[in-house]
Order: sequence, then C-alpha cells, then structure tokens
Amino acid sequence: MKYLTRKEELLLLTILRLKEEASLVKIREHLNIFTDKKWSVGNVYVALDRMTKRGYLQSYSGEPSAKRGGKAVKFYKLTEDGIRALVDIKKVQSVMWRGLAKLSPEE
Amino acid sequence: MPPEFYSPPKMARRILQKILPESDNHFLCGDFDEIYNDIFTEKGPMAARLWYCYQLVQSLPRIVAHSISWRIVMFMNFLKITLRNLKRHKGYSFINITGLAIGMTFVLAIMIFIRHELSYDRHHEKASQIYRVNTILGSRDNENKIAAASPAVAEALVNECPEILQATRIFKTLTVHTVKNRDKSFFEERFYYADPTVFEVFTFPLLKGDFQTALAQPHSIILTYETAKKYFPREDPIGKTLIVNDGEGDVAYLVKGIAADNPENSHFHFDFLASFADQEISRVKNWFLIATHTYILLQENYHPSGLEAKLPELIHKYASPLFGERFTFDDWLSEGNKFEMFLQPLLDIHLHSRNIRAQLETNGNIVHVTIFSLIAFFILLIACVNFMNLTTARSSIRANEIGVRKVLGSTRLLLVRQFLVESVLLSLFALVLALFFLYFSLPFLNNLLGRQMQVTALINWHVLPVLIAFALFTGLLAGSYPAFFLSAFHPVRILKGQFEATKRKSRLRYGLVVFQFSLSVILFIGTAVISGQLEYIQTREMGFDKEHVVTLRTTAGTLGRQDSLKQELLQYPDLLSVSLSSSLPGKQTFEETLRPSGTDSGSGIVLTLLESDSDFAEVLGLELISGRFFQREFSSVSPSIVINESASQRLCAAYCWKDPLGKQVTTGRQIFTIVGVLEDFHFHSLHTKIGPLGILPLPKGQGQYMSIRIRPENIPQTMSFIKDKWITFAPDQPIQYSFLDDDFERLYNPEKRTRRLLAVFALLSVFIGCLGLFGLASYSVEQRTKEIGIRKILGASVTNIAMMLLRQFSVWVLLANIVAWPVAFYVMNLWLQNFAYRTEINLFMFIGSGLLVFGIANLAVSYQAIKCAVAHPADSLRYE
Repeated sequence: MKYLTRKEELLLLTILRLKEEASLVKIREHLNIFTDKKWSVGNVYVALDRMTKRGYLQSYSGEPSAKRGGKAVKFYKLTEDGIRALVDIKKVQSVMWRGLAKLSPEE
Repeated sequence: MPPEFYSPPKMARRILQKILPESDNHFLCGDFDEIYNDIFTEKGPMAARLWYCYQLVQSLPRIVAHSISWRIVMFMNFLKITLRNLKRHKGYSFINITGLAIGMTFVLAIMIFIRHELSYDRHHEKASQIYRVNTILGSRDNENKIAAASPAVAEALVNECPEILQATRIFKTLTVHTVKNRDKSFFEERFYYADPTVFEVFTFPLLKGDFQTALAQPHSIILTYETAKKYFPREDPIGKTLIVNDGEGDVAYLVKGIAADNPENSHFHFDFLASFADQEISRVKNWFLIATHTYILLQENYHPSGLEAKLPELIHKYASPLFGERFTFDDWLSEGNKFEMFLQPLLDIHLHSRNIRAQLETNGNIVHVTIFSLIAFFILLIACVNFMNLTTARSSIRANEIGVRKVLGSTRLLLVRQFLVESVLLSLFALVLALFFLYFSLPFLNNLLGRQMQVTALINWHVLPVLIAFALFTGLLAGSYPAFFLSAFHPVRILKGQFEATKRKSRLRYGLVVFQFSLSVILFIGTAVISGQLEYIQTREMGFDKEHVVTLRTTAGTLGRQDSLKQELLQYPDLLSVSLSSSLPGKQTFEETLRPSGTDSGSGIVLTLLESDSDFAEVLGLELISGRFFQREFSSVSPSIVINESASQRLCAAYCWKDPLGKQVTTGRQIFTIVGVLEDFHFHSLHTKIGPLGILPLPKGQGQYMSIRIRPENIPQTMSFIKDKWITFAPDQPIQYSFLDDDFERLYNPEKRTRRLLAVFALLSVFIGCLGLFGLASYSVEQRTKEIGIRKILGASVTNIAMMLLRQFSVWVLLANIVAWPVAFYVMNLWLQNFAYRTEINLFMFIGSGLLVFGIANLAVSYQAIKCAVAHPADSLRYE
C-alpha cells in the first residue's frame, strides 16, 4: 500500500478542517497560513485532482456567486478511502516517532 | 459600496480559459476570479492584475512544452508517412524532387547573382555617403550624361559647400601605359591617377605604406599586391622605382605603398594609383573640360538633394568667366545648350549607370537583374506546378489513407497540415539537392554571367534562415493546391471505392501543363529570335570589308614613328595596305557640330568625326559615291573633309545644296572643303542607326590605330612578320593587335550572353516540364491499363494504342503553343527595338520552337505509351 505524501496529507487535513467550506480557494488560503509558504493555484489543483482520481476525495459543486464571475464553486470532501489513508499514515508516523518525542533541534 | 465583481484583464482571462484543463475549466476560472477579487479588495487593482498576469506567465513554459510534445508526435507520424511514400514510389519521388531541385538551383543561383550585383562598392566604409559628380552636356537636340566632371570641380565643391567633407579625383588616360622595371615591361590598362584624398573617401586598405603620405609627393605610385608581385617577385617594392611610359615619354615613379587587391565587386579596379598632382590636367580651371571622375564624401545623413540644388548656381559662377562680354554663358544657355551636374550615389553606380557615358568600367544593368529574377521565378513556378500536378495525379493512391484518417477523426485542417508538412519536407530535400547542383554548376554560370560568384556566399549564418524560409515558401506554394484538393475527399465515397478523378480536376491539371509548356515555348522562341538577330548581324553588309584586317594599337614606343613603321610594313608582299587613324569601326569616337562656314554657330548638324590618313578607304574597302578620298600629299591651305551619305543628305536638306562637293564647312575652329562623299557604312554596332560621319585628314605623326589589310593566305607568317617589325620599333613594348571582325563581334557579347542564358533556361524549363509530363503519362497509363488490355483483345494495334495515348497529351502541348506565340511575339518585338537594324521575326522561328517542344514532350510521353501498348493484354486483365 502506498502512503500519502506530506503534501497530500496536508491537503487532506485542511479539507477535514474546512468541512463544508473546502473549495480550492479556501484550501489554498489555509495552507498559506498554516505552512507559512506560498502555494500556487496549480500546485493545489493538481494535487486535489490527482487525489480525486485516486478516490480519496469527492467533489460536488456549489452555487455560483457574483464574486466568481458568475461561476459555480467546486467543493471537496474526503471519501472513506481518504480517511483510511490518513489514518494509515498517522499510524506509521506515530510508530516511527515513538521514543523520539523529546527530539528538538537544540540537542 | 464597492461593486460586487471586478473583472480581471479580458485578454488574460480569455487565454487562461483556453489553457486551463478542460474538465474543470469552469470551476478553475471561477477560482481564479475569486482570488483576483480577494487581492483586488485587499491590495488594490495593480497587485491583483500583476498576480493574475504572473499566473499566466508562470504557466507559459508548460503550455508550450505540452503543445510541442504533441506536435512532435504528430510530426513524427507525418514524417514516417512521407518517407514511406517516398520509398514506395521511387520514380515519382525522383521526378518530384529533381524537378523541384532544378527550379531551386536556378533561384539560388539568381539569388547569389543578385546579392553579388547589389554588393558592389559596399566594402567602402562610408559607401552610403559617397557620391559621384556627373555632368550633363547637351545641345538643342541631344544630351549626354557623362560620369565625369572637370578637374576643377572637386576643389571648388569642397571650398563652397561645407556639407562636403572631402572630394577626390580619379583620372585615366585613353592611352595604354607601359610600365617597366628593369627588364620587365608590361602594358597596363588599369593605370589610374588619383588625389591623395582618395584614401579618405574610399576604403582601400594599404598593406604597406602610409595612406597619409602615399600619394602626397609628386611621382609617387601605389601598386596592388598582385601587381607588386608581378614587378617585384622577390624584393620589397617600397622605395623602388618604376618607369612609366604614359604615351608621351618615360617618367620615373617611386613606389610608396602596396594596396590590397580590389574586390571583384567594385565599380573600378586599379593596378596602379599614381599621384595626380603632377599631371598637367589636374590644374585645369576650365569647367567645360570633362576629364576626371570626381567623388565627394558627404556628411553623415546629409541628403544630397540639398547640395544638388546649389549646383546650378555654382556652375554659373565658375562657367561664366569662360565666356566673353559679347556672348555670355546665359546667351549660350539660351541657345538651347545645357550644362548641368548631378550626384550619383556610389552604390547606384554599378546597376544604374545605363545612359551615363565615360564609365571607368563596364557596369551591370538593373534590367538584367530584373529579367533574370523573373525567369528564375517562372522556372521555380514550373517546378512547383509539376509538383502539384504529380501529387494531385496520384491522389487515388493516397485516397484510401485520407479516407481512413478522416474516419479515425482527423479534421480537414490536420490533413491540410499533413500534406503541407509533406511538401515542405520534400522541398527541404530538394533544397539540399539544389545546393549540390549549384556547387557543380556555378563555374558554368559564372562563365555565362561574366562574374566570379562563389557558393560560399550562401554558406553564411544570415543566409541560412533565408534559405530555409525559401524552402518553406516553395514547399507551401507547391503543396498548397494538393493539400486542399486531397483533404476535401469524402471519406465514405473513397472507402466504398467510388473514387475517380473527375473531368474538372484533370482539366485543371492539363491547364497547368499548358502553362508550363507555353513558358518553354516562349523561351525557345526568344532564343531563336536572338539567334536570328545575331545571324542577321553577322551576315549584314557593313558597308566595309571587315575580314582580314589586322588592327594595332600604336603606343608610346612607336609614337611619332608610325609613318615609318607603316612604310616598313608595306614592304611585305602579303600586306596589301596600311592605314593610320584616330579611331576604327566599333571603337570610340567623338561628336561635333558641322556647319557651312559663314553661318551662325548654333546651327549645323551633329556628326561623328574621326581622322585618318589617305589609305583608310582602301584598307576598309569603303566605296565613294562622288568626289575623291584624301590624296597622299594633301594641301595644307584648306584641309579637306570626306563625309558619308547620311551627312551629305542632312547637309543638303538643311542648306538646299545640290552637290556638297567643294562646299566649305567648319567645326568652329577650322574650315574644311568637302572633297568626297562615301557610301554609308556601319561605324558603330547595329544597335544604332548609321548617323552622319565625317573623316578629316590625320595630322602627321598621330593616329592611335593602325589597320592593315592582309592577304587571306599565309596569315601566320604575315602575323609573325608584323610582330617582328613591331619588336624592331618598340622592343620593350608588347604588341597589341586584334582582327577587325573579332573586334566587331565583341560588340555583341551581351546579346550572345543573353542568348546562351535563354537557351539554358529554355532547355531546363522544357526538361522540368517533361519530367512532369512523364509522371502524368505514367499515371494516366496506369489508370487505363485495363481499358488498353480490352482494346488490344478487341483488335487494336500497338500503333493504335500508342497514338491514342500520345494524342491525349499532344493536344495540350499544341494548345501551349497557341498561348505562347502571341506573348513571345510581343516580348521579342520589344527586344528587337534595341537594334536600329533588325531581322524580321518569321513564322519559322515559331513553328520550329513549337515543333521542338512538341517533339521533346512526345518523347517523354512515348516511353510510357509504347511500354503500355506492347504489354501483353493478359497481364493487365489477369486479376479481373
């Protein structure tokens, strides 16, 4: 079984946090704030698209709004596969981190 | 309250919409709009727009790469199909590519030629600022443009016009110089005198010596590298002395510098440049003495029209003092005389000097450049037509492929693109082949055009894109019709096997054949007419006997002693008569006005004047109408003049004389008595009408030319006698002789060259045309194999069938003739207008050319026709 990459993990977690609000624009905004890095639209979109195709994500369209030039918005939510993948990666990580909890750059 | 929606830049938005993934296009566009609006409200419009555009720019490389990768995939497929087709139909491919390559070879050759013609004099650093001062001298009924000006003009111009940075004069005498270094002595034609400023105006790099001082001192001289090697093979020539005989005596010159050899594409070439200041003529103040070629260097970006406007005033200022009180310059002008000057850009000299006399060297002609480019273009067009023809003719072979492609979802545009790619590829192959052809044919072409061009002119980084663009252009031109024709096929019908070349389509094809062959016929007729004219020239009675006349240039060594040389020569029994004269038929002459003595200056007739001794008429075999030629001892009281019939008629008409004999005439300086009238003879080439001509007695001890009538037998012995005698008179000077008929022949060299060129063009065009016809014939035969099989079974003979096939093509070639004849007639009539004496265009030339082309075309078809006609019918019908 293939593990999620760090980027994918971050994306899925963001979507979970945003719940009903998980549109591309919102996801990117959140990522920018959380990671303190610039995420480009393309970067986010490509990853989302890939995970949709892989079956981790599901998309549904929302209402068009004036702010979007009259175009509808696409929301994402996690599928069961997506949640399972997150759980899997978390399990691996906690196993790997066990006993190294006190690690910090100063030591 | 702010508006609800800010639209991003329209253009960018549209592009973005195009390039975003199709599946989520709508959502993504919305996303971008949303972010744009967020930034807009937060940071203002500038930031938003910047961000939006940055998004676009950022994605550009990926978009390009993406589309290129697909293009390449498609292109590889096209390439594969093209190569397969080439391999499968080797014959067609060969015909196609060779035909195209020959056409291209010509265009390339012409391209080199034009580049060469346009490159003249560009090697001078300030070429665009240099102008030559030309003079216009004229009387009421004729006007001469002369490439030179008075020696005084240069200095006056520099003094009077601040916009002229520098001026220089180049001078060449008509006499041939003899240059001697100890035992080495040669005739030098390219001996020029120049002012020291010549190096400031022109760029003549000096290999040795300093251009500041090189010509500054009297009797200094500069040699070119080649000349220096000729005279001083093993020593350093600087500081050495050369003895120059300029026709008047020996002068010692000190070699002060060595210049690089002049490039070939230069409007004049010198071997020697001697200091001009020590020549008497350089100090002449008379503005009417047109003697030196004067070049001026203008300020950068200064337009010469400003200067030209000042010239009339200057001329007036300097020319007026030459006239008296009673008859002023203005009076002279009001009599209809003309004295003007104009500036000719240096870069125009080579191609635009057609009507300007006294050039330093023969120049090119812009008309030739245009004609050649036209012909080359037409040959390329023929080759392209061929290509179209063959490709469309073979459409049935490609039909299935096209059908399948269409069914599999190819759009028409894609098919068009495929065929264009194919033809461009073929034309690239052809280009490579053409470069090969060119490499091998260039020496021949150089010979034809009288130039030294090199293929290396094409192997040049800034020519390469032009070449490729040229191949692209040819490919697109040749491929355009087939591409649109083939891509229009209806897939269902093709795949059902209902494909058939319609009548309309083949009519167009044959229309193209007609076009090709009419061009060939026109070229052949052109060649025939030029040949006819040359034949006419050679057989026309010239009015004098040009056979068996040897002409000698008398030079420095024999000067003043020509008469004794003449007497010595006459001792030899095979030399019939010898004459001395100032000019000879075909050579340069000068013109003057002749009027009866006692009448006003300003009237009279313009006639060609030359001077000769009493034997002139005998040597040339001139016939007298009335009176006599000069006697051996002529009286010096009133010199006599002999005129020709035209002059006599003009004079009689103008002054109501019954008989011109015994009448007194004058040129203004001297009075002559008309003693004889000669029958008209052609003193100039047949381009010009026989004009009035007068012959004056030659003063003793003069005469540039010696003409000798020899017996037609034992010519080698006679010649060696003449040479021996020459050596005893001028031991250190080589003899310069030629035969009068050869000299005359040389006057028609341009026409001969045109004929050779046209013949080559004609042959090539017919060859390319035949290649196409051959291909068409083989296609047509292939289509009709079964029909022919059945015909044979039903009893048709081999000849029947061959004739049937030949007839099909002959009709079109005949039609081509009908199209070509009027055009050829019109064009060639125009060409013949160049000659005052011309042959008639006769029907035979047309029929001959037509038959020739017809025969060649039939030959091309007959191979296919006969092959098909003798084939066994069982073979063609076996599979039915």
